Formats: sequence, structure tokens, C-alpha cells
Amino acid sequence: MSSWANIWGMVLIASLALFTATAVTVTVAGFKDIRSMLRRIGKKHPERGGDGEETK
Amino acid sequence: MLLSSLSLPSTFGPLDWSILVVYVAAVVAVGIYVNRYIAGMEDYVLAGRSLKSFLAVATMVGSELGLVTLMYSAQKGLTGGMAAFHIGVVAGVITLVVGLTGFIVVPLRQMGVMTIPEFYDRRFGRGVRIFGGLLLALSGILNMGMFLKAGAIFVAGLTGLTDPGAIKVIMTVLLAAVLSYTVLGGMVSVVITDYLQFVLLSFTLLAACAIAVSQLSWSGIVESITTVHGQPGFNPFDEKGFGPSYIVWMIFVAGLVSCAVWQTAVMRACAAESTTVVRRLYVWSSIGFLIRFMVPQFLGICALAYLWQTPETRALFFAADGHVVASSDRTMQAMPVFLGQILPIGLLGLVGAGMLAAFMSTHDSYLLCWASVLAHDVAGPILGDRLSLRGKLLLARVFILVIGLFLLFWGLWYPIGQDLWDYMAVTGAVYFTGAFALLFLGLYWRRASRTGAYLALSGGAFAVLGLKPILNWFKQVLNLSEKDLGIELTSDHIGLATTALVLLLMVTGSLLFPDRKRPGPQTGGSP
Repeated sequence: MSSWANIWGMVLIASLALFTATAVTVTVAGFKDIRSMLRRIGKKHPERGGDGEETK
Repeated sequence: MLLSSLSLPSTFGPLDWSILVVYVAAVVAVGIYVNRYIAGMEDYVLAGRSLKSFLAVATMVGSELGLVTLMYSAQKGLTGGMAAFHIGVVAGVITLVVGLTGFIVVPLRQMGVMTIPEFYDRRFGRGVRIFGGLLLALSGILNMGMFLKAGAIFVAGLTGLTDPGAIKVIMTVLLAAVLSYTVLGGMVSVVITDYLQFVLLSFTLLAACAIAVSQLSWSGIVESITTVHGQPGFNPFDEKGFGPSYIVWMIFVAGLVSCAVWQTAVMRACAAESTTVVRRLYVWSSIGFLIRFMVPQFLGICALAYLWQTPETRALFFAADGHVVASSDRTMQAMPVFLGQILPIGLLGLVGAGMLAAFMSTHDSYLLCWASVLAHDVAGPILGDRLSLRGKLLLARVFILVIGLFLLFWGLWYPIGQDLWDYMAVTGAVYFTGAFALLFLGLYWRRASRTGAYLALSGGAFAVLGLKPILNWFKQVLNLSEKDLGIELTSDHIGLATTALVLLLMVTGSLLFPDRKRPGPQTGGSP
């Protein structure tokens, strides 16, 4: 039983470490992607979302 | 719903309520604001196919790490112990393999389809598209039927609210908020609200895990699992716990289906900018698929340790023989009750906001997904050219409202009778067993035919036997007992048998009734 508990403990620590790294990276880079997405859709439809700020 | 029968005091205070209200209002405002970017069906359903890698990861994890996922995973952690971690491990590994190989998702993106039924159309013809689309939407809507119930149980457990009327009002307001911005903003608002939810939920979940471990200690957690579950609480291969057939079923459901066959996940692949982004999305999302099971399962395990060690709660969640109580409604309450007891004021509000944001983001993705399938793949092909672009958009919005109303009623009266995760796997299997056969063989086997496709999709209906109330009724009608069958029939046996059946039907039907003209997969979209 203790060997299984150790295995799961290590898997859990590795998962939480990966999760932390992913959360930080995706939070920062995802924000840039949102701006880029809105700019792109705005360019396609300048009469709707593509006002000055977004399309420039 | 047992909401009023548990009246454990929670530390949820005015500050927590304020955080929650402000956050939900902000999310709805952002969701509605982006309505100005929607000009057509492609913007509405796929955000103009402009998702880049990190945003795609955030939205994919955001949708899949919903409140319901947290609830059913925590419940599995409580009822299965650490052995339940195998579900997260297989989900992560299989998603990584799909990302590295591009299995199913890359050819789908290359074809430039918006939905899986659209693939059916190109590969097998319009009739299969309509039939497959209808089956997909019905199975998907049934699948999300318990979302509202899980959300209500969570709110009751976390906030300590005991008035069922107040909880129903909160859940209805939340559903109305989701409906409002999903109806208006489509995928663009879904993507942005998913991102906000990903950020908030990731950090609050990590904080909750840290606080739980610091309060309970690792050795205390292991000791509680040993007392309650014994060896099956650690070893997933132990027949008294999960057993090998359940693991194989999970490789298929939590692994392959969740990332490569389930429409809400495939939609992200279809919305990606290129096939390179699709691969990167899946490689990165493998961490999300691992985490979405493991972290809440761990919180469920911590809940087990806390509730077992606390005399006031032991009698509520454990039977006299020391096992976890058999009531699914009660075991779902364990994680929110536990969080309501251990988290400090302020963080509790943030966790509540994160979880309710998760509730909203899953709802918006699923509502959009099933409504789009009904409008784009069922009503669209039936009505043909008579349905304008504007008409399709309007129809998708009407379907969102109708599905929302259905959810309100279904969540209140269906007696679940089994773990929420198993309910989800079974209702999903009605569609995904057939869909897997059509996607896998349709993409990689040239002889797959239309007749085989119809047979495979129809065969998926056998999966409903995995629902406890239907299985019990079936056994009663045929006068069957466990002794007659030789084994205790569970949802995983029925799911695996249905999968084998649909593959057999697809192959046999295709060999016996080949198509006269073989369309084959075509690549129509941008690479």
C-alpha cells in the first residue's frame, strides 16, 4: 500500500508543478493572444469591431 | 437534492459574497461587450478561426475544467481514494499521444470542417450528418443534464446556504447570465470568459491544495484512505475497487474520447489557426487533461480525510461499517463542504468565484456547441438554401434558450443513482461510441461506407443500459440477477461492449454494403 501511496504522491507533486508552470505561462501569453484575436476579427469586420484602436 | 439536510456552518461571509457578485457581473459584461465582433457563423462558432496556441490552451482547459468536472472528480477521489488518480494519468498521456501523432484531430482540421457531423457529411453523405448531428446533440444535452444539480450542490456546500429556494434562484440567475452572453457573443465571448476562468481557477485551486495539505498532512491523508478504502483505495487494478475493465474504459473515455472525439474539445482543434497550433494545443493541453482530474480528485481525497477525522461529519458521509455512504448526492457535497470549513474568508470568495466561473464557462461552451450542431448540422441541411446566414444565427440562439430551459427541469427530477462521472460517461457514450467508429474508420479506412456509419451510430444507443435506473429496469424486465449473469454488470462493462459492437457493425456494414461512389476525406480548409 505504501509503495502505491509513494507513486501517487510523486505523480501528484509532478502534476502540481506542471500545472503551476502552465498556469503562469498561459496567463501571460493568453492575454497577448486575446488582443491579437480581437485585432484580427476587427480587421475582418472594420464596421463592427474594427474601430481605430483595435485595427491599428 | 438533500440540500437542506446538511446544515454545516461555513465561513462564507459578506466579503466572499461581494467577490462572487463582482466577478460574475464582470464576466457577463465582458461576454456581452464582445458581441460587436460577431458578423457571421464562423465568428460566432469558431471565433473567426483565429485562436492562437496559448489562448487555445486556456479556453480548452477552461472549458474542460468546469465545476462539473471538479465535482465529479472530487466525488471519484472520495469514493475511490488515490486509485482514482489513474483516470487523470491516462487522460494526460493519451492527450499527449494525440498531440504528438495528430491522431484524428489533424486530419479533421485539414478538412476545414466546423463540427464532427460536417465531417460525416463529407465522408458519408448528408443523411449521416443529420442523423449523427441529432444523436450528438441529444446525447450532449443529456450529458450536461446534471450540471445545474452539481452546481447547486456546490453552492449549498460552500456557502452553507440551506434554503433550497435561494439556491435555485442563484442557479437560475447564473444560467440566465451565461445564456445572455453566449447568445450574444458566441465563441469570442466563450473564449475570453474561459480565459478569465482559467486564470482565476488555476491559482485558487493551487492555493486550496496547499492549505488542505498543510492542515491535514500527507500521512494523515494516507492513513484515512487506508482505514476507509484499504488496498483498493490505492491500487487501481484491484477488482474490489476500479479493476482492469474500468481502466480500459477510462483509457477510451477520459483519454481518447475526451480530447479527440468529444465535440467541445474537437471544436477547439477546428478553431485553431493551423495544424501546427492543433498539435501544440494538444501537447500543452495534456497537462490540463491530467490536472482537471487529479487536482479535484486530490481535493476529494482531502475531503475524505477531513470528514473522516471530524466526529460531527463522520456520521454524515460514512456508513456504520466505515465505508463512504452510497448516496451520490451526498458524496458530491463532500468537497464543497470541506472547502467551506477549511478556507479563510476572502480566499473562500475567490474559490467560489473561480468555481462558479468554471460552472459558467462549461455551460457556455456546451450550450454553444450543442446549439451550433442543431442549427448547423440538423436544421441547416434539412432546410437547405432556405436558411440564410442570419437565420442560422437566430436558430442557434433559439436552441441555446431551449436547451437552457431543458436543463432547468432535467437537473431537478432525474434520480442520478450513480457517481456523476459514470453518469457523464454513459450519456456521452450514446454518441461517442458511434462517433469514434465513424471518425477512426472514416479517416483511416477507405472502405468505410454509409451503411456501416448508420449501423454504428445506431449501435451506440445500447450504451444507455449503463445508466443505473435503466439497467435495473432492464434486469427486472428480463428477470436477470447478478448470479445468472456471472458478473456484476457495471457501466464500464456496458460501455466497452457497446464500443466493440459499434466497431463490428461499422466494419460488417461497410464490407456487406459498400458505397458505390466513395467520397473519401477531402481537405478543404487552410492548413
